[in-house]
Amino acid sequence: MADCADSKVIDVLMVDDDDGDVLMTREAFEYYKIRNRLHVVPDGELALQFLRRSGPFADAPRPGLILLDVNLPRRSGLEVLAELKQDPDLLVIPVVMLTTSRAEEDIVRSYSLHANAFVSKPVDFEQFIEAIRQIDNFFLTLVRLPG
Amino acid sequence: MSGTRRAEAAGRWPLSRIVGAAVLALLLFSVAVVVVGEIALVSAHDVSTALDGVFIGVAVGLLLTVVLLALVLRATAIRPLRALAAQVRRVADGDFEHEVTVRGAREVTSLAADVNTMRERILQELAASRRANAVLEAHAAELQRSNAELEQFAYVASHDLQEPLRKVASFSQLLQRRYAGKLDARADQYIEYAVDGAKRMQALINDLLAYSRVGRSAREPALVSSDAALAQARANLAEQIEETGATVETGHLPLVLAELPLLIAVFQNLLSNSLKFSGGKQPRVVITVRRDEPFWRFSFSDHGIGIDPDYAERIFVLFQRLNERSAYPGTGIGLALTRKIIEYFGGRIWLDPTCTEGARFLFTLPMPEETLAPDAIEGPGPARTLPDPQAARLIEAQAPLDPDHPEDPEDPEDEDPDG
Repeated sequence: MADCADSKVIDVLMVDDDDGDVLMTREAFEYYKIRNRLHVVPDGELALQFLRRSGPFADAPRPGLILLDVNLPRRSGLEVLAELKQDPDLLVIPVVMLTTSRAEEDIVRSYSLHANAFVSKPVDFEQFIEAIRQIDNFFLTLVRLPG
Repeated sequence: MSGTRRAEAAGRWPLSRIVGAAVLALLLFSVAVVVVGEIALVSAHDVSTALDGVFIGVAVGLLLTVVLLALVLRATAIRPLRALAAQVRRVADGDFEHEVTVRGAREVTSLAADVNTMRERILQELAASRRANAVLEAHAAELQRSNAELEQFAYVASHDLQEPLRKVASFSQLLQRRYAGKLDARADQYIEYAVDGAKRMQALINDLLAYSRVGRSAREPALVSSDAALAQARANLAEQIEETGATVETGHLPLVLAELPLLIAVFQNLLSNSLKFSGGKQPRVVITVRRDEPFWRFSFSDHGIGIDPDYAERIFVLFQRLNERSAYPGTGIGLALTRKIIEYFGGRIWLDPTCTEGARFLFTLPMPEETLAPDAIEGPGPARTLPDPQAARLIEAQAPLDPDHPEDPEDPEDEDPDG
Protein backbone atom coordinates (compact mmCIF):
# COMPACT_ATOMS: atom_id res chain seq x y z
CA MET A 1 0.00 0.00 0.00
CA ALA A 2 2.75 2.43 0.96
CA ASP A 3 4.64 1.68 -2.21
CA CYS A 4 1.61 2.37 -4.25
CA ALA A 5 1.01 5.77 -2.62
CA ASP A 6 4.65 6.72 -2.77
CA SER A 7 5.09 6.01 -6.41
CA LYS A 8 2.09 7.99 -7.51
CA VAL A 9 2.39 11.71 -8.16
CA ILE A 10 -0.82 13.40 -7.22
CA ASP A 11 -2.12 16.73 -8.47
CA VAL A 12 -3.08 19.26 -5.82
CA LEU A 13 -5.32 22.20 -6.71
CA MET A 14 -4.82 25.28 -4.61
CA VAL A 15 -7.52 27.97 -4.86
CA ASP A 16 -6.07 31.13 -3.37
CA ASP A 17 -5.70 34.71 -4.55
CA ASP A 18 -2.90 35.50 -2.12
CA ASP A 19 0.36 35.23 -4.08
CA GLY A 20 2.38 35.21 -0.88
CA ASP A 21 0.57 32.19 0.50
CA VAL A 22 0.85 30.44 -2.84
CA LEU A 23 4.59 31.10 -2.89
CA MET A 24 4.94 29.84 0.68
CA THR A 25 3.02 26.70 -0.21
CA ARG A 26 5.36 26.17 -3.16
CA GLU A 27 8.30 26.69 -0.81
CA ALA A 28 6.85 24.12 1.54
CA PHE A 29 6.45 21.62 -1.29
CA GLU A 30 10.02 22.29 -2.32
CA TYR A 31 11.43 22.23 1.22
CA TYR A 32 9.83 18.94 2.17
CA LYS A 33 10.56 17.53 -1.30
CA ILE A 34 6.88 16.86 -1.87
CA ARG A 35 6.68 15.40 -5.35
CA ASN A 36 3.02 16.10 -5.84
CA ARG A 37 2.21 18.76 -8.42
CA LEU A 38 0.73 22.03 -7.21
CA HIS A 39 -1.74 23.81 -9.49
CA VAL A 40 -3.00 27.20 -8.52
CA VAL A 41 -6.06 29.18 -9.56
CA PRO A 42 -6.84 32.59 -8.03
CA ASP A 43 -10.64 32.43 -7.75
CA GLY A 44 -13.64 30.16 -7.34
CA GLU A 45 -14.93 30.52 -10.89
CA LEU A 46 -11.62 29.33 -12.35
CA ALA A 47 -11.47 26.55 -9.77
CA LEU A 48 -14.76 25.11 -11.04
CA GLN A 49 -13.58 25.47 -14.64
CA PHE A 50 -10.36 23.65 -13.74
CA LEU A 51 -12.25 20.82 -12.07
CA ARG A 52 -14.72 20.50 -14.95
CA ARG A 53 -11.98 20.88 -17.56
CA SER A 54 -13.81 23.70 -19.29
CA GLY A 55 -12.50 26.95 -20.80
CA PRO A 56 -8.72 27.22 -20.68
CA PHE A 57 -8.46 24.05 -18.56
CA ALA A 58 -9.41 21.47 -21.17
CA ASP A 59 -6.30 19.45 -20.37
CA ALA A 60 -6.36 19.94 -16.60
CA PRO A 61 -5.65 16.83 -14.53
CA ARG A 62 -8.12 15.64 -11.96
CA PRO A 63 -6.70 16.72 -8.58
CA GLY A 64 -6.44 14.33 -5.66
CA LEU A 65 -6.75 17.16 -3.14
CA ILE A 66 -8.15 20.67 -3.13
CA LEU A 67 -6.81 23.43 -0.88
CA LEU A 68 -9.55 26.05 -0.78
CA ASP A 69 -9.37 29.53 0.72
CA VAL A 70 -12.58 30.94 2.23
CA ASN A 71 -12.08 34.52 1.15
CA LEU A 72 -11.93 34.50 -2.61
CA PRO A 73 -12.85 37.16 -5.14
CA ARG A 74 -16.14 36.70 -7.03
CA ARG A 75 -17.33 33.33 -5.71
CA SER A 76 -16.36 32.66 -2.13
CA GLY A 77 -14.65 29.47 -1.05
CA LEU A 78 -17.83 28.36 0.69
CA GLU A 79 -19.87 28.75 -2.52
CA VAL A 80 -17.29 26.75 -4.42
CA LEU A 81 -17.33 24.11 -1.68
CA ALA A 82 -21.14 23.86 -1.81
CA GLU A 83 -21.08 23.44 -5.57
CA LEU A 84 -18.32 20.83 -5.45
CA LYS A 85 -20.14 18.74 -2.91
CA GLN A 86 -23.30 18.74 -5.04
CA ASP A 87 -21.44 17.45 -8.07
CA PRO A 88 -21.51 13.62 -7.99
CA ASP A 89 -18.28 13.50 -9.96
CA LEU A 90 -16.31 15.97 -7.82
CA LEU A 91 -17.67 15.36 -4.34
CA VAL A 92 -15.24 12.52 -3.63
CA ILE A 93 -12.18 14.78 -3.95
CA PRO A 94 -11.07 15.76 -0.42
CA VAL A 95 -11.29 19.49 0.23
CA VAL A 96 -9.17 21.18 2.89
CA MET A 97 -10.23 24.70 3.74
CA LEU A 98 -6.89 26.44 4.13
CA THR A 99 -7.61 29.97 5.16
CA THR A 100 -6.62 32.92 7.32
CA SER A 101 -10.11 32.93 8.81
CA ARG A 102 -10.49 31.69 12.35
CA ALA A 103 -14.14 32.73 12.53
CA GLU A 104 -16.22 30.09 14.22
CA GLU A 105 -19.04 30.49 11.70
CA ASP A 106 -16.68 29.88 8.77
CA ILE A 107 -15.53 26.68 10.47
CA VAL A 108 -19.07 25.51 11.18
CA ARG A 109 -20.30 26.38 7.68
CA SER A 110 -17.33 24.66 6.06
CA TYR A 111 -17.96 21.42 7.90
CA SER A 112 -21.70 21.55 7.35
CA LEU A 113 -20.92 21.85 3.62
CA HIS A 114 -18.84 18.65 4.00
CA ALA A 115 -15.35 20.10 3.92
CA ASN A 116 -12.89 17.35 4.87
CA ALA A 117 -10.81 19.62 7.07
CA PHE A 118 -10.53 23.23 8.14
CA VAL A 119 -7.02 24.56 8.72
CA SER A 120 -6.15 28.12 9.76
CA LYS A 121 -3.01 29.26 7.99
CA PRO A 122 -0.44 29.36 10.76
CA VAL A 123 1.06 32.76 11.39
CA ASP A 124 4.59 31.46 11.77
CA PHE A 125 6.40 30.44 8.59
CA GLU A 126 7.85 27.25 10.07
CA GLN A 127 4.41 26.24 11.25
CA PHE A 128 2.90 27.14 7.90
CA ILE A 129 5.14 24.86 5.88
CA GLU A 130 4.75 22.19 8.54
CA ALA A 131 0.96 22.45 8.15
CA ILE A 132 1.28 22.03 4.39
CA ARG A 133 3.50 19.00 4.91
CA GLN A 134 1.05 17.45 7.33
CA ILE A 135 -1.96 18.05 5.07
CA ASP A 136 -0.09 16.54 2.16
CA ASN A 137 1.09 13.62 4.24
CA PHE A 138 -2.31 12.90 5.71
CA PHE A 139 -4.46 13.15 2.61
CA LEU A 140 -2.03 11.97 -0.04
CA THR A 141 0.08 9.39 1.77
CA LEU A 142 -1.63 8.15 4.89
CA VAL A 143 -5.27 7.82 3.96
CA ARG A 144 -6.72 5.69 1.22
CA LEU A 145 -8.93 7.60 -1.16
CA PRO A 146 -11.32 6.25 -3.75
CA GLY A 147 -10.17 5.92 -7.32
CA MET B 1 -69.78 85.87 46.19
CA SER B 2 -70.04 86.85 49.82
CA GLY B 3 -71.44 83.38 50.58
CA THR B 4 -68.38 81.72 49.18
CA ARG B 5 -66.14 84.06 51.08
CA ARG B 6 -68.02 83.27 54.25
CA ALA B 7 -67.64 79.54 53.60
CA GLU B 8 -63.94 80.02 53.02
CA ALA B 9 -63.72 82.06 56.20
CA ALA B 10 -65.53 79.26 58.00
CA GLY B 11 -63.11 76.87 56.36
CA ARG B 12 -60.24 78.71 57.96
CA TRP B 13 -61.84 78.53 61.41
CA PRO B 14 -60.08 76.15 63.75
CA LEU B 15 -62.06 73.23 65.07
CA SER B 16 -62.00 74.59 68.62
CA ARG B 17 -63.72 77.79 67.49
CA ILE B 18 -66.36 75.86 65.60
CA VAL B 19 -67.11 73.67 68.62
CA GLY B 20 -67.01 76.73 70.88
CA ALA B 21 -69.48 78.56 68.65
CA ALA B 22 -71.81 75.57 68.73
CA VAL B 23 -71.61 75.30 72.55
CA LEU B 24 -72.17 79.08 72.83
CA ALA B 25 -75.22 78.75 70.60
CA LEU B 26 -76.50 75.98 72.89
CA LEU B 27 -75.92 78.10 75.99
CA LEU B 28 -77.66 81.14 74.47
CA PHE B 29 -80.54 78.98 73.39
CA SER B 30 -80.83 77.39 76.84
CA VAL B 31 -80.72 80.82 78.50
CA ALA B 32 -83.36 82.06 76.08
CA VAL B 33 -85.55 79.03 76.79
CA VAL B 34 -85.13 79.45 80.54
CA VAL B 35 -85.92 83.17 80.36
CA VAL B 36 -88.95 82.53 78.19
CA GLY B 37 -89.96 79.70 80.58
CA GLU B 38 -89.63 81.96 83.65
CA ILE B 39 -91.81 84.61 81.99
CA ALA B 40 -94.30 81.95 81.00
CA LEU B 41 -94.20 80.48 84.52
CA VAL B 42 -94.83 83.84 86.17
CA SER B 43 -97.75 84.66 83.98
CA ALA B 44 -99.07 81.09 83.73
CA HIS B 45 -102.21 79.80 85.32
CA ASP B 46 -101.25 76.23 84.83
CA VAL B 47 -97.75 75.81 86.22
CA SER B 48 -97.26 72.20 85.13
CA THR B 49 -98.17 72.99 81.52
CA ALA B 50 -95.78 75.89 81.55
CA LEU B 51 -93.05 73.69 83.07
CA ASP B 52 -93.71 71.10 80.42
CA GLY B 53 -93.36 73.78 77.81
CA VAL B 54 -89.99 74.87 79.26
CA PHE B 55 -88.71 71.32 79.41
CA ILE B 56 -89.85 70.56 75.89
CA GLY B 57 -88.27 73.81 74.75
CA VAL B 58 -84.95 72.93 76.46
CA ALA B 59 -85.09 69.40 75.06
CA VAL B 60 -85.80 70.60 71.53
CA GLY B 61 -83.04 73.18 71.88
CA LEU B 62 -80.56 70.55 73.08
CA LEU B 63 -81.50 68.21 70.29
CA LEU B 64 -81.22 70.95 67.70
CA THR B 65 -77.83 71.99 69.07
CA VAL B 66 -76.49 68.42 69.04
CA VAL B 67 -77.73 67.97 65.49
CA LEU B 68 -76.24 71.30 64.53
CA LEU B 69 -72.94 70.39 66.19
CA ALA B 70 -72.91 67.04 64.44
CA LEU B 71 -73.62 68.64 61.09
CA VAL B 72 -71.00 71.32 61.59
CA LEU B 73 -68.38 68.79 62.71
CA ARG B 74 -69.25 66.56 59.82
CA ALA B 75 -68.98 69.39 57.34
CA THR B 76 -65.85 70.98 58.75
CA ALA B 77 -63.88 68.04 60.15
CA ILE B 78 -65.00 64.51 59.36
CA ARG B 79 -65.80 64.93 55.68
CA PRO B 80 -62.69 67.01 54.91
CA LEU B 81 -60.51 64.54 56.88
CA ARG B 82 -61.96 61.67 54.92
CA ALA B 83 -61.38 63.52 51.64
CA LEU B 84 -57.87 64.42 52.79
CA ALA B 85 -57.13 60.81 53.73
CA ALA B 86 -58.28 59.62 50.30
CA GLN B 87 -56.10 62.18 48.55
CA VAL B 88 -53.09 61.51 50.77
CA ARG B 89 -53.48 57.82 50.02
CA ARG B 90 -53.43 58.64 46.32
CA VAL B 91 -50.21 60.61 46.78
CA ALA B 92 -48.74 57.85 48.92
CA ASP B 93 -49.51 55.38 46.14
CA GLY B 94 -47.17 57.32 43.90
CA ASP B 95 -49.28 60.02 42.26
CA PHE B 96 -47.04 62.82 43.45
CA GLU B 97 -48.46 65.18 40.82
CA HIS B 98 -51.86 65.16 42.54
CA GLU B 99 -52.44 68.40 44.41
CA VAL B 100 -54.28 67.88 47.66
CA THR B 101 -57.25 70.31 47.87
CA VAL B 102 -59.61 70.15 50.79
CA ARG B 103 -62.08 72.48 52.53
CA GLY B 104 -62.79 72.33 56.20
CA ALA B 105 -61.48 73.33 59.60
CA ARG B 106 -58.11 75.10 59.73
CA GLU B 107 -56.43 72.00 61.16
CA VAL B 108 -57.54 70.02 58.13
CA THR B 109 -56.58 72.64 55.54
CA SER B 110 -53.19 73.26 57.13
CA LEU B 111 -52.59 69.52 57.23
CA ALA B 112 -53.46 69.45 53.52
CA ALA B 113 -51.06 72.33 52.92
CA ASP B 114 -48.31 70.44 54.75
CA VAL B 115 -48.98 67.36 52.68
CA ASN B 116 -48.74 69.52 49.57
CA THR B 117 -45.44 71.00 50.68
CA MET B 118 -44.10 67.53 51.36
CA ARG B 119 -45.43 66.32 48.02
CA GLU B 120 -43.77 69.20 46.17
CA ARG B 121 -40.48 68.58 47.93
CA ILE B 122 -40.66 64.90 47.02
CA LEU B 123 -41.40 65.92 43.43
CA GLN B 124 -38.36 68.19 43.40
CA GLU B 125 -36.12 65.53 44.91
CA LEU B 126 -37.50 62.99 42.50
CA ALA B 127 -36.88 65.26 39.53
CA ALA B 128 -33.35 65.97 40.74
CA SER B 129 -32.60 62.31 41.28
CA ARG B 130 -34.12 61.47 37.91
CA ARG B 131 -31.92 64.07 36.27
CA ALA B 132 -28.87 62.74 38.08
CA ASN B 133 -29.84 59.20 37.14
CA ALA B 134 -30.30 60.15 33.51
CA VAL B 135 -26.85 61.78 33.46
CA LEU B 136 -25.38 58.71 35.16
CA GLU B 137 -27.10 56.36 32.76
CA ALA B 138 -25.95 58.39 29.78
CA HIS B 139 -22.38 58.26 31.10
CA ALA B 140 -22.60 54.54 31.72
CA ALA B 141 -23.97 53.93 28.25
CA GLU B 142 -21.28 56.13 26.74
CA LEU B 143 -18.58 54.34 28.72
CA GLN B 144 -19.94 50.95 27.74
CA ARG B 145 -20.11 51.98 24.11
CA SER B 146 -16.60 53.39 24.04
CA ASN B 147 -15.28 50.34 25.91
CA ALA B 148 -16.97 48.02 23.47
CA GLU B 149 -15.64 50.07 20.58
CA LEU B 150 -12.14 49.99 22.01
CA GLU B 151 -12.23 46.25 22.52
CA GLN B 152 -13.67 45.76 19.07
CA PHE B 153 -10.91 47.96 17.70
CA ALA B 154 -8.19 46.01 19.47
CA TYR B 155 -9.71 42.75 18.35
CA VAL B 156 -10.18 43.73 14.71
CA ALA B 157 -6.82 45.48 14.54
CA SER B 158 -5.10 42.44 15.97
CA HIS B 159 -6.80 40.18 13.48
CA ASP B 160 -6.31 42.37 10.44
CA LEU B 161 -2.75 43.27 11.37
CA GLN B 162 -1.88 39.59 11.52
CA GLU B 163 -2.30 39.08 7.80
CA PRO B 164 0.30 41.49 6.35
CA LEU B 165 2.57 40.82 9.29
CA ARG B 166 2.43 37.12 8.59
CA LYS B 167 3.85 37.94 5.17
CA VAL B 168 6.64 40.12 6.53
CA ALA B 169 7.58 37.54 9.14
CA SER B 170 7.29 34.55 6.83
CA PHE B 171 9.29 35.98 3.98
CA SER B 172 11.99 37.43 6.14
CA GLN B 173 12.23 33.99 7.77
CA LEU B 174 12.36 32.48 4.32
CA LEU B 175 15.04 34.96 3.31
CA GLN B 176 17.06 34.02 6.38
CA ARG B 177 16.62 30.33 5.78
CA ARG B 178 17.56 30.58 2.12
CA TYR B 179 20.25 33.24 2.03
CA ALA B 180 21.83 33.37 5.47
CA GLY B 181 25.60 33.18 4.97
CA LYS B 182 25.31 33.66 1.23
CA LEU B 183 25.29 37.46 1.35
CA ASP B 184 27.67 39.61 3.38
CA ALA B 185 27.59 39.92 7.16
CA ARG B 186 25.72 43.19 7.01
CA ALA B 187 22.92 41.64 4.96
CA ASP B 188 22.66 38.82 7.48
CA GLN B 189 22.30 41.40 10.23
CA TYR B 190 19.60 43.27 8.32
CA ILE B 191 17.69 40.08 7.82
CA GLU B 192 18.09 39.18 11.47
CA TYR B 193 16.66 42.54 12.55
CA ALA B 194 13.76 42.17 10.15
CA VAL B 195 12.96 38.68 11.45
CA ASP B 196 13.33 39.79 15.05
CA GLY B 197 11.14 42.85 14.53
CA ALA B 198 8.44 40.90 12.78
CA LYS B 199 8.46 38.20 15.45
CA ARG B 200 8.25 40.77 18.22
CA MET B 201 5.38 42.51 16.49
CA GLN B 202 3.63 39.18 16.20
CA ALA B 203 4.13 38.60 19.90
CA LEU B 204 2.76 42.08 20.65
CA ILE B 205 -0.26 41.57 18.48
CA ASN B 206 -0.95 38.15 19.96
CA ASP B 207 -0.66 39.63 23.44
CA LEU B 208 -2.95 42.49 22.49
CA LEU B 209 -5.41 39.97 21.15
CA ALA B 210 -5.22 37.98 24.39
CA TYR B 211 -5.70 41.20 26.34
CA SER B 212 -8.72 42.29 24.32
CA ARG B 213 -10.23 38.83 24.62
CA VAL B 214 -10.47 38.90 28.43
CA GLY B 215 -14.13 39.14 29.29
CA ARG B 216 -15.31 38.42 25.77
CA SER B 217 -16.10 34.78 26.43
CA ALA B 218 -19.70 34.01 27.15
CA ARG B 219 -18.67 31.79 30.05
CA GLU B 220 -19.74 32.68 33.56
CA PRO B 221 -17.12 32.54 36.30
CA ALA B 222 -17.38 29.14 37.97
CA LEU B 223 -15.79 27.29 40.86
CA VAL B 224 -12.16 26.89 39.91
CA SER B 225 -9.40 25.27 41.91
CA SER B 226 -6.49 27.68 42.18
CA ASP B 227 -4.38 24.63 43.03
CA ALA B 228 -5.13 23.21 39.60
CA ALA B 229 -4.49 26.57 37.93
CA LEU B 230 -1.10 26.89 39.61
CA ALA B 231 -0.24 23.29 38.75
CA GLN B 232 -1.01 23.94 35.09
CA ALA B 233 0.96 27.20 35.11
CA ARG B 234 3.94 25.32 36.59
CA ALA B 235 3.59 22.62 33.96
CA ASN B 236 3.54 25.26 31.21
CA LEU B 237 6.73 26.76 32.60
CA ALA B 238 8.33 23.42 33.49
CA GLU B 239 11.27 24.01 31.20
CA GLN B 240 12.20 27.40 32.68
CA ILE B 241 11.59 26.13 36.22
CA GLU B 242 14.01 23.30 35.62
CA GLU B 243 16.56 25.52 33.90
CA THR B 244 16.61 28.07 36.71
CA GLY B 245 16.24 25.53 39.50
CA ALA B 246 13.31 27.54 40.87
CA THR B 247 11.35 26.43 43.91
CA VAL B 248 7.68 27.19 44.42
CA GLU B 249 6.47 26.92 48.02
CA THR B 250 2.77 26.72 48.59
CA GLY B 251 0.13 24.88 50.58
CA HIS B 252 -3.32 23.97 49.39
CA LEU B 253 -4.86 26.83 47.49
CA PRO B 254 -8.62 27.42 47.70
CA LEU B 255 -11.49 27.29 45.25
CA VAL B 256 -12.30 30.67 43.75
CA LEU B 257 -14.85 32.08 41.32
CA ALA B 258 -13.00 32.43 38.01
CA GLU B 259 -12.36 30.87 34.61
CA LEU B 260 -9.64 28.23 34.58
CA PRO B 261 -7.70 29.34 31.45
CA LEU B 262 -7.58 32.91 32.70
CA LEU B 263 -6.56 31.90 36.21
CA ILE B 264 -3.77 29.77 34.73
CA ALA B 265 -2.64 32.88 32.83
CA VAL B 266 -2.56 34.85 36.12
CA PHE B 267 -0.30 32.32 37.86
CA GLN B 268 1.78 31.79 34.76
CA ASN B 269 2.43 35.51 34.28
CA LEU B 270 3.41 36.05 37.91
CA LEU B 271 5.52 32.90 37.99
CA SER B 272 7.20 33.75 34.70
CA ASN B 273 8.07 37.21 36.06
CA SER B 274 9.62 35.69 39.17
CA LEU B 275 11.70 33.33 37.06
CA LYS B 276 12.74 36.13 34.73
CA PHE B 277 13.58 38.75 37.33
CA SER B 278 15.45 36.49 39.72
CA GLY B 279 18.62 38.57 39.49
CA GLY B 280 20.80 35.56 38.78
CA LYS B 281 19.83 33.81 42.01
CA GLN B 282 17.92 30.58 42.17
CA PRO B 283 14.31 31.82 42.05
CA ARG B 284 12.23 31.11 45.12
CA VAL B 285 8.50 31.79 44.97
CA VAL B 286 6.22 31.65 47.99
CA ILE B 287 2.46 31.65 47.57
CA THR B 288 0.18 32.02 50.58
CA VAL B 289 -3.49 32.75 50.92
CA ARG B 290 -5.72 34.12 53.65
CA ARG B 291 -9.33 35.02 54.14
CA ASP B 292 -10.35 38.58 53.37
CA GLU B 293 -14.06 38.01 53.06
CA PRO B 294 -15.74 37.95 50.66
CA PHE B 295 -12.38 37.33 48.97
CA TRP B 296 -9.41 35.05 49.17
CA ARG B 297 -6.30 37.16 49.35
CA PHE B 298 -3.26 35.67 47.71
CA SER B 299 0.29 36.73 48.37
CA PHE B 300 2.77 35.91 45.64
CA SER B 301 6.35 36.78 46.44
CA ASP B 302 9.83 36.11 45.23
CA HIS B 303 13.37 37.02 46.22
CA GLY B 304 14.40 38.45 42.88
CA ILE B 305 15.45 41.93 41.83
CA GLY B 306 12.22 43.45 43.17
CA ILE B 307 10.33 46.49 41.90
CA ASP B 308 10.88 50.10 42.88
CA PRO B 309 7.72 51.20 44.75
CA ASP B 310 7.69 54.32 42.53
CA TYR B 311 6.67 52.04 39.69
CA ALA B 312 4.04 50.14 41.70
CA GLU B 313 1.25 51.34 39.40
CA ARG B 314 3.14 51.73 36.16
CA ILE B 315 4.01 48.05 35.97
CA PHE B 316 0.33 47.30 35.37
CA VAL B 317 0.13 49.54 32.29
CA LEU B 318 -0.12 47.81 28.93
CA PHE B 319 3.27 47.36 27.22
CA GLN B 320 5.03 49.24 29.98
CA ARG B 321 8.50 47.86 30.66
CA LEU B 322 10.99 48.81 33.33
CA ASN B 323 14.00 46.97 31.99
CA GLU B 324 15.97 46.82 28.78
CA ARG B 325 14.69 44.35 26.30
CA SER B 326 18.13 42.86 25.80
CA ALA B 327 18.39 42.04 29.51
CA TYR B 328 14.82 40.87 30.06
CA PRO B 329 12.84 39.85 26.98
CA GLY B 330 9.07 40.29 26.87
CA THR B 331 6.35 42.49 25.48
CA GLY B 332 5.32 44.07 28.76
CA ILE B 333 1.81 42.73 28.72
CA GLY B 334 2.02 40.18 31.56
CA LEU B 335 0.98 42.32 34.50
CA ALA B 336 -1.51 44.39 32.49
CA LEU B 337 -3.19 41.19 31.39
CA THR B 338 -3.03 39.81 34.93
CA ARG B 339 -4.69 42.90 36.33
CA LYS B 340 -7.37 42.87 33.65
CA ILE B 341 -8.16 39.22 34.37
CA ILE B 342 -8.30 39.68 38.14
CA GLU B 343 -10.46 42.80 37.86
CA TYR B 344 -12.72 40.96 35.43
CA PHE B 345 -13.35 38.41 38.17
CA GLY B 346 -14.06 41.23 40.62
CA GLY B 347 -10.76 41.10 42.49
CA ARG B 348 -7.78 43.46 42.77
CA ILE B 349 -4.05 43.15 42.37
CA TRP B 350 -1.37 45.44 43.70
CA LEU B 351 2.29 45.48 44.49
CA ASP B 352 3.15 45.37 48.19
CA PRO B 353 5.34 48.48 48.52
CA THR B 354 6.55 47.43 51.98
CA CYS B 355 8.31 44.41 50.57
CA THR B 356 11.95 45.30 50.01
CA GLU B 357 13.45 41.89 49.45
CA GLY B 358 12.18 40.77 46.07
CA ALA B 359 8.72 41.54 44.78
CA ARG B 360 5.43 40.71 46.44
CA PHE B 361 2.13 40.87 44.63
CA LEU B 362 -1.12 40.71 46.56
CA PHE B 363 -4.34 39.89 44.80
CA THR B 364 -7.88 39.01 45.73
CA LEU B 365 -10.29 36.64 44.06
CA PRO B 366 -13.93 36.22 45.01
CA MET B 367 -14.68 33.47 47.48
CA PRO B 368 -17.41 31.05 46.44
CA GLU B 369 -20.58 31.61 48.47
CA GLU B 370 -20.41 28.18 50.13
CA THR B 371 -16.95 29.00 51.49
CA LEU B 372 -18.09 32.17 53.22
CA ALA B 373 -18.25 31.43 56.93
CA PRO B 374 -21.75 32.07 58.31
CA ASP B 375 -20.41 34.15 61.21
CA ALA B 376 -18.63 36.36 58.73
CA ILE B 377 -22.01 37.58 57.54
CA GLU B 378 -23.46 38.13 61.00
CA GLY B 379 -20.33 39.61 62.47
CA PRO B 380 -17.13 38.19 63.89
CA GLY B 381 -17.64 35.39 66.36
CA PRO B 382 -15.20 34.16 68.96
CA ALA B 383 -14.56 30.87 67.17
CA ARG B 384 -15.19 29.66 63.68
CA THR B 385 -16.90 26.37 63.23
CA LEU B 386 -16.31 24.68 59.96
CA PRO B 387 -18.69 21.79 59.43
CA ASP B 388 -17.44 21.26 55.90
CA PRO B 389 -14.18 19.29 55.70
CA GLN B 390 -13.36 21.05 52.46
CA ALA B 391 -13.70 24.41 54.12
CA ALA B 392 -11.40 23.16 56.87
CA ARG B 393 -8.89 22.18 54.25
CA LEU B 394 -9.16 25.61 52.70
CA ILE B 395 -8.51 27.25 56.02
CA GLU B 396 -5.36 25.19 56.45
CA ALA B 397 -4.01 27.00 53.45
CA GLN B 398 -3.74 30.08 55.62
CA ALA B 399 -1.26 28.51 57.95
CA PRO B 400 2.34 29.65 57.48
CA LEU B 401 3.68 27.41 54.80
CA ASP B 402 7.31 27.51 55.60
CA PRO B 403 7.92 26.14 59.09
CA ASP B 404 11.65 26.85 58.78
CA HIS B 405 11.03 30.55 58.36
CA PRO B 406 8.57 31.62 61.02
CA GLU B 407 9.65 35.23 60.55
CA ASP B 408 9.16 34.99 56.85
CA PRO B 409 7.97 38.21 55.25
CA GLU B 410 5.19 36.14 53.64
CA ASP B 411 3.54 35.85 57.03
CA PRO B 412 -0.14 35.65 56.12
CA GLU B 413 -0.96 38.31 58.67
CA ASP B 414 0.93 40.93 56.72
CA GLU B 415 -0.60 44.33 56.41
CA ASP B 416 -2.77 45.46 53.61
CA PRO B 417 -1.15 48.55 52.08
CA ASP B 418 -4.58 50.13 51.84
CA GLY B 419 -5.26 49.53 55.51
